[in-house]
Amino acid sequence: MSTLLEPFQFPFMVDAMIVGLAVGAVCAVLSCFLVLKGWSLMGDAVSHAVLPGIVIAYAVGLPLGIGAFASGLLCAVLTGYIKSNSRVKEDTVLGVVFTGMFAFGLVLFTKVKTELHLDHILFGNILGLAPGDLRDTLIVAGVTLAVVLLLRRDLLLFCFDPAHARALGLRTGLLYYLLLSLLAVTIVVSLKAVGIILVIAMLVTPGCIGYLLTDRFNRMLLIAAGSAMGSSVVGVYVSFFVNASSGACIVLLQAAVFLVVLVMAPKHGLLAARRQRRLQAAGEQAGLAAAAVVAASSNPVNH
Amino acid sequence: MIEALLIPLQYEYMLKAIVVSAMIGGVCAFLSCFITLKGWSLMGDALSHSVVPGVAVAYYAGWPFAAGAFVTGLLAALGMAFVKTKTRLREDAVIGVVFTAFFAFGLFLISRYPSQVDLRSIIFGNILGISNQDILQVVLISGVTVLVLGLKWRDFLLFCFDVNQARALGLNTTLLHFALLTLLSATAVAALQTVGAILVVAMLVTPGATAYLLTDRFSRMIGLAVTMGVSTSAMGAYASYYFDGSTGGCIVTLQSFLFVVALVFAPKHGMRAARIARRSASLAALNG
Repeated sequence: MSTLLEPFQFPFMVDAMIVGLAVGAVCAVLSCFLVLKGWSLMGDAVSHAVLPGIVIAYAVGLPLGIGAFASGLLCAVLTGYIKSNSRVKEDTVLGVVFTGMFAFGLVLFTKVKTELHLDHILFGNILGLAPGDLRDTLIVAGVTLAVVLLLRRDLLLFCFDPAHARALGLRTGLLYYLLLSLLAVTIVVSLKAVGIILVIAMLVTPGCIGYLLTDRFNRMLLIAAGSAMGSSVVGVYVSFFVNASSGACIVLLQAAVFLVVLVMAPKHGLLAARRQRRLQAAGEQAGLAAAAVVAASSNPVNH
Repeated sequence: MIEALLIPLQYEYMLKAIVVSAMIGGVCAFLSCFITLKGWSLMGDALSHSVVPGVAVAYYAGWPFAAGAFVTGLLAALGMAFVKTKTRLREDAVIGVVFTAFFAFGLFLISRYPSQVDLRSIIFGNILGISNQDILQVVLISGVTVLVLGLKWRDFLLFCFDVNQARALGLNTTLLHFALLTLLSATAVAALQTVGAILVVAMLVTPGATAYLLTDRFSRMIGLAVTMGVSTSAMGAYASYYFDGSTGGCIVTLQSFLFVVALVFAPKHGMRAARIARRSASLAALNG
């Protein structure tokens, strides 16, 4: 028992868990919007594009978060600009821009003498948080979360059907940049916890878990946040014992939850789909056309 | 001055790196023409990350790295296809979930069981320290890829451009789909050696996108893309001598630079050409 409680005796473990909770909650809430909007690649791109900003901010002496935010946003804006001014497809443009920025960041990194650890930027360093990190993370995460939750109806409509949102008088251009900025801020906040590469998982997987479990958006938000916060705390806790990268543990746990949900989800899971198909087949065999129609119409998801 | 520039070429490892990079750059560029047409950029990114656990396992088990990488790359692709067909999730979200899970597993393995596997060389490539055995694997992969693409490029082109038409013409599109996925995984493995897991996607997208801005003919697009892929990779490998061995960073920065140049100055599809066309159109409207 005392071995199990051992991690809690170390302040750095407790800090890591609190940061994990905050980051997990913000990422998960945002991931619900990204999954609906089809912006998973955007999260991937913005998170990589953050690198040159961090290096430049370090060289100039600005707070790293500001540099990261600016260059993340620049990636998204550049992509939009190039896409509307050339005939190259959006996904290709995004790929070109974010890898270009990341590569430029790497080249800069070799020329700027920094005390930054590239490994920490890439994979996070949640067990080695600096003194002010906990407070900063909590403040930024709290504000971001509050903005997203307050504006969730507008954002939801924008993600789901931009044309409808515009018809209702919402300023979709503003919402577009708002969502992008929220994404960039969230990525910056999460860097310390899970790093550039794995933050994508935090921004996609919880939303998918929620989407498989429910049809109602508010519930989806709750499920996503719950699963992400749980995975974060347990992931940090487990990494203490197995001595592996905490970021990797958090993401693997999320993936495990996703797998379980994928199979077992009551309505949209694989088992439910199979049960439905069997019912349908049985209905047809018995010649009960009516039963088949009911089964088919009660389950519109499986085509 | 000239002597100073020739210094890198005096080292055997630099020459090796330049030649191998150029070869990989060319093969990736060839494939990139198809990938950009098909809109599979995210797929290239995903497969190159999914390869990481395979590389780790292959090192532990003493297999050729390409074998392990190839297996996990294909597993990830199959996993994505399975989840996508069975659920109502969007494709991009499914790809995101699967590849990050694979990558996290690789990171977990490497951090849990540190051995001679160097995480940095997987993430950033290590062409300056490539072994002869690894070169052999890369040459094999490149040879097969070029052969398949070269012999069947018309079929692949039709498949990338319009799946329905390809099917209507009697092509086996399922086979083509998996063939292209397999080639993608294989080249991602080869490119891993030069630029590393994160930047592989650039090698698989940027030359094709740049060439697409420069020409309307597919055969010319392939020629341009391959030329750019070979030259940027060779020059990037050379330049990395001066940039602390960051070969991937140098190659991809060069490729992005060419993309920007093409974006602005391309004779027909560039931004300058578009502006000139607009201006002469509005002039004509005024005069008319």
